[in-house]
Amino acid sequence: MSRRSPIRRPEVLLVLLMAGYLVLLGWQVRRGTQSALSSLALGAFGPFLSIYDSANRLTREGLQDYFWQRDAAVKAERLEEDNRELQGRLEISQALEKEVLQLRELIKAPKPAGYQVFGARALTEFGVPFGRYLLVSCRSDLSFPDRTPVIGPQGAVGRVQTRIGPLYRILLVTDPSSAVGVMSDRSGVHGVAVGEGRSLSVRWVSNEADVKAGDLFVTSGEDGIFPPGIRMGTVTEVSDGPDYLKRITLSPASRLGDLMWVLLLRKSNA
Amino acid sequence: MRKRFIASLLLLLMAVAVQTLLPLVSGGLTIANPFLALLTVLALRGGKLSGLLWGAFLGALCDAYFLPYVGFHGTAFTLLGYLLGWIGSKVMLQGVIPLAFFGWASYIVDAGLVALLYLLLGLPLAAPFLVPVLLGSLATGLMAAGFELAARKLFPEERP
Repeated sequence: MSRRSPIRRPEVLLVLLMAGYLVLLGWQVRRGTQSALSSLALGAFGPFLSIYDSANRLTREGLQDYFWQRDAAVKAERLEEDNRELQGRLEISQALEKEVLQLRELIKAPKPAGYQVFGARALTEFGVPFGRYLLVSCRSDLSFPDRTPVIGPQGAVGRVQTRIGPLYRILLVTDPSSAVGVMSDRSGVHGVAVGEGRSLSVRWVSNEADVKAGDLFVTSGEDGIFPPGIRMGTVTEVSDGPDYLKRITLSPASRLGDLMWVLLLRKSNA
Repeated sequence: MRKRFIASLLLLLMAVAVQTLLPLVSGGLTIANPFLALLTVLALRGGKLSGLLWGAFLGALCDAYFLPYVGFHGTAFTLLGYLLGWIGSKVMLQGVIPLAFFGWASYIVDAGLVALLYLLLGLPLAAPFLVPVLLGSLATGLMAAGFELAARKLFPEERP
């Protein structure tokens, strides 16, 4: 009868392996986590552990990052929306502020004596390149005849040309068909201011007249439309002409492209 | 014999792959133990000696994966491999449901033994303990059933 080696008996092997593991455990725990066996096991299974760790990290941190990024994107979108809304409000506020300032200037502006003033909302400037017109809106119960003078906070704007319901088409002083009697505020030289599109030119002023750059021209009242003393513009260029008449260019006193409110003037006895 | 070894090796690689890829599916599934599921399948087929040798090896592998010390799962798996091998040599198992049961029970025994060793060596146990053990045992039981299905494909000579 052949006798089996004790090491080949499963029970003996079981006891030996378990005892070995227990001894190893006791040794490792006494030495701490950085035991040689632990390092050996980590080295042997390193690649697998590395993949395991990567997968674990990818899942947890990746998901966290994904959710964080998604939340951040949602927040950014919301902030952008808020920003757009605030920007819109700011633009409205700026427009309101500008309008308030213009109204204040308009109220403070000197009014010609003997005239009633009526506010009108300036809507749009049009007619370029052929003419220069302004559409204004006024109270519907009021009626203004053609050639009613219109002024702004800084000076003359134009005259009523046509009425279309509550709207009035204003012929601006810069329109080439506009002519206004003017005089120099400094020297009293008289002339006629004609529209040139963006600027005005003063005609019928002799070469001997005293006109300098920077002089202010105001309405003279000779045209029978504008009352005297309303600012028309400032001289930007002046030179003597070959026909004994000066070439005078005025920059309009009113910022015609930037008007929000204007005043229509009506004679008090009308 | 050679075919059996290769088949066992393939199952081992499958267990490593499952253990590695589990976190990709869900972080919560890492409480499952595919090595123990594999031990259940191999030990029930191979007998006492094969079971305890596989248990010693898979236990060491499991320790390397999960714990700072080598030996906790090693001891428990060695004992479990022997017991499962003994059971496998005594009873005839049919279907995959018994494997799921043995996988579930093995997880409970393994967790109990490891916890006992922890306490004997004066190491603190992480809390909560019971709920993860129960969930992990269920997942391991299902894995054991899955490994059994794979083993049936890989061990053609054992087909009825």
